[in-house]
Amino acid sequence: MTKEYTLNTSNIMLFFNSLIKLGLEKNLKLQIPLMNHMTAFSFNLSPESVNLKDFIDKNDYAQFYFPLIKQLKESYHDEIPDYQMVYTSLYQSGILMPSGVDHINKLLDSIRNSDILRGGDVYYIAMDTNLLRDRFYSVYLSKIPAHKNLDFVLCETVRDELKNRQEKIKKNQLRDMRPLPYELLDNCFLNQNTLADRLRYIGFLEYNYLRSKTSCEELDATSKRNSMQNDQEIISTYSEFVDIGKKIIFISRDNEIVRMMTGEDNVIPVFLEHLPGKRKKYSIQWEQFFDLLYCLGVLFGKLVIVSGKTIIADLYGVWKGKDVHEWESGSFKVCLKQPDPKYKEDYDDFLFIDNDMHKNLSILNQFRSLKI
Amino acid sequence: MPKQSIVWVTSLGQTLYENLNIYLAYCENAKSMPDRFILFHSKDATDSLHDLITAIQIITQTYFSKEITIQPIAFDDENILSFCENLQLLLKDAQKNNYKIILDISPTTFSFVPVFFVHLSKQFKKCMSSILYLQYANHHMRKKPYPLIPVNSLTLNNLMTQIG
Repeated sequence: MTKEYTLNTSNIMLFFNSLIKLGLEKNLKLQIPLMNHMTAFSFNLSPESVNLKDFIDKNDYAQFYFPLIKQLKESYHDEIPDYQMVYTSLYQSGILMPSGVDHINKLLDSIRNSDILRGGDVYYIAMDTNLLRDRFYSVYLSKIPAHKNLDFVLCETVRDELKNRQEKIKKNQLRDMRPLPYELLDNCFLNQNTLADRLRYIGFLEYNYLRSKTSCEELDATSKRNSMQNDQEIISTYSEFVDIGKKIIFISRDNEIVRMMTGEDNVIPVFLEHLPGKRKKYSIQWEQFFDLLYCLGVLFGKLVIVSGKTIIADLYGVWKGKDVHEWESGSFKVCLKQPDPKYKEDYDDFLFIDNDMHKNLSILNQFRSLKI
Repeated sequence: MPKQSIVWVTSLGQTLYENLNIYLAYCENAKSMPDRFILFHSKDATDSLHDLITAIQIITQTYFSKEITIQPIAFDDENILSFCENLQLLLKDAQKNNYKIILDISPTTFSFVPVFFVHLSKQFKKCMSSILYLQYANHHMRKKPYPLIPVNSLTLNNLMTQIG
């Protein structure tokens, strides 16, 4: 028997609180079934932070990635996340900040010191597709203090790029993805978007979030399937938008488009970069931890939380039947498998976690329905 | 011997969670509920009072499948002596009827409320069961409901047993 809970990214705290109450807050591990049960990191749950240890590095990841890629048909290679995607999840959850962010800090400080009433320029922050996919607004820009000289602008070409979709994943494709276990693939990915589309969708949600949280201007622009032509469209749209006293800070991780923007009147291009790192330990905020789990869940579908040798729960970031609302609210599915009652300790732990989550979720849902 | 009635006494917090979180923490830790919930509130608190009463019932129902008697007591928040008189009457009644009082001094709305709570608890020592204060690892957590706060960042202090 399996107990299932669908929880949004903040409600996932219910699950981890159950573990803390059981005294299981130390030496937990996160394993990834899609990568032959590779351990991505181990972690301890502290009062104000989560301490990650042994975060998988590029070389260790390669030992799981390349043998799998060798056995898979080439047409499915894009469905297996590479290390760069795993590393990017540290940026998407705000654990790491890209190189070049100091330049933005200095720029924003100088803007804050200028006075619009005395003729100071108005600056509009524009983000490229890659920065939206990195959730750069959520993890960084949303935290900078508001200022009357500072606003946001979005080009519709960027939105269109994020809306691009391939066909959803079908049963026959999953059957063809040997040696990956069909049951795992079916549970996670049947009739869900491809990996590239799922990553784009993170950016699309970020675009909508930015739009809902700021007074950003949206600029009409066309889009093509060709990214070079889209880059040209973005550049010309922003060039037409700027004016005397009206400037754009264009932030991108794409060196090419930043180079093309350089020299445009009233456009300040800023290049950000993910520098390779060798850190294995991170002390992170709880919200960052949940965002990290979610990003990894979107990459790999199923994650497994292990304590010692016991599997505590399966967390799904993608699952068969995950609907639009669940995608929009960043939901997880938590599955608790009932152990055989003859393993008394594991069985009691299962009952405790299920009961505790059930009770607290019921309280939260009732509060929410009464708008408390 | 008949079971002694347990009476929870507190004041309306600045946020609902100032009242709810400690009540939830108590229900979870003590695995028992009080028989009555007495809530001092200023005369103009209406919406938040209604929400709090509903939420306390939700928690009690979910944990114990029972309803709790909630007794709101309005007071003039500019009249410190009238509050003190109200509280004294309540505690005299508790002493007379052999009730056990749990004083919750977590809410931060009225600075004089916990002062009187603690002061009078000495005079009515016989009926005092505990003086509770929920401590958070940082103040940002006060804005969240108990189930969404890392439980190891919360400490349910009983000042009666911890500092005498």
